[in-house]
Amino acid sequence: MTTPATGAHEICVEIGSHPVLLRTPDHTYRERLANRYAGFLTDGSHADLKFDIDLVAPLDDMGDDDVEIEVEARSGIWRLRRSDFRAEWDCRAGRGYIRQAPTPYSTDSILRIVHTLLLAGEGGFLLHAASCIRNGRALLFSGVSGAGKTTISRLAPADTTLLSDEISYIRRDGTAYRAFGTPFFGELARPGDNCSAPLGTLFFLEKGFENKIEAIPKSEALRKLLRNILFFAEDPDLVKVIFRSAWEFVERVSMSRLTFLPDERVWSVIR
Amino acid sequence: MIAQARDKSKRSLAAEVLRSGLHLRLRAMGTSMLPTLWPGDLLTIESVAVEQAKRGDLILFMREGRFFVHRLIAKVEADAMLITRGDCLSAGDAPVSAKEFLGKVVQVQRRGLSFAPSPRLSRVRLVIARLLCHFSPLQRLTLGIYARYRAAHFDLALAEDAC
Repeated sequence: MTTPATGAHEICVEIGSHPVLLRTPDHTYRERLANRYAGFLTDGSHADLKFDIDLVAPLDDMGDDDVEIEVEARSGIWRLRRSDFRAEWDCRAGRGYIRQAPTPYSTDSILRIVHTLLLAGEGGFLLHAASCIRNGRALLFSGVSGAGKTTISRLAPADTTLLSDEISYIRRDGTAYRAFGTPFFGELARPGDNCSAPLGTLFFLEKGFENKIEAIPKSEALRKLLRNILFFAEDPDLVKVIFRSAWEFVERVSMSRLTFLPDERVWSVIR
Repeated sequence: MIAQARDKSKRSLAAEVLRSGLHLRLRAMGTSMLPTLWPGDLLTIESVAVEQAKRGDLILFMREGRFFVHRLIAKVEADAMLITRGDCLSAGDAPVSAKEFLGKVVQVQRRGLSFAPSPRLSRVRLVIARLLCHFSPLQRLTLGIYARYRAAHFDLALAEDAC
């Protein structure tokens, strides 16, 4: 894979205090990205990572499966591959190159994968969870598709700040954790606010016939947490790192099961 | 009866949203588009004019109060009718009229990542689709495995070892 000529149109997307500069020769595509990540744009002078994007016509040569993804590291270079994109990223140099179909969905997937790798090195992760800030603390609501993440976000009281209804961004903050807003949304079709707060409680969602919060054993919490961490790399060492991060998270963060009826009364039991 | 009325009004509202030019996000529930779409996929639907729908697009249409997402396999221009079929179905649908047509799928979200649906069904997928279509036990088994995989895509054995 060769490095393309530097493009003139730049945009810097900062999520979780990790600025990533994206550079494309295509002004229109830059504008599409600007619309997609509105609220998460920043000055690119202090970017952790810089990617040159080469847009190509539909990538028929790139394989058959539009979902199967390969993420692997060789000699300090991360290689990301899916039917609609190829990307390389030199960790040490903080530079990368993307060859992709001209759709922001490809860039979006690459950004998600890159952030899982950035976070893995510092004890954090992306979690399949809705998150919001209430009374100065971040609350997480985790569960697989259909568990109620969007529903709980939609029912949140007016004094709640939405961080995401789909993908939550967790970073270590000393011995505690901090949740950040993300532009990655689910059914709500609205990005989160670009802000952060110390993490309060993680709730695992279950739909039921009453609203109640129950304590869960740490072993179950760890299992549920691991089910919902986003991670794509086929790297045994990094998998161990993620597992250790999850275990430390379970040790330090309050976790409960939230069974709920889908109406606004659920928020009266959430503390 | 109240639930039925509520569902109907939700669907009408969704149709109204699309017709007013906004995006709509729907969760895939059925199996007629396997292996292109799986239950639980989150679909982003964009409103487009019926003339802009192209062969291979996954289109959303509403019929008898229900939503369908199927692949557009042909257009009958004179009558502005669309011929559609689920990838996992052996027969096509009754032709879709411009009135029933709502928009097309522009994004699929699955397992935390998003992608644009492919306009073509590759040979491999075609074979899988035919197998799933004609052998319902295989379809049930595949869906069961997929549901378990979706619920535990991380290495659970690793978790259990440490507990």
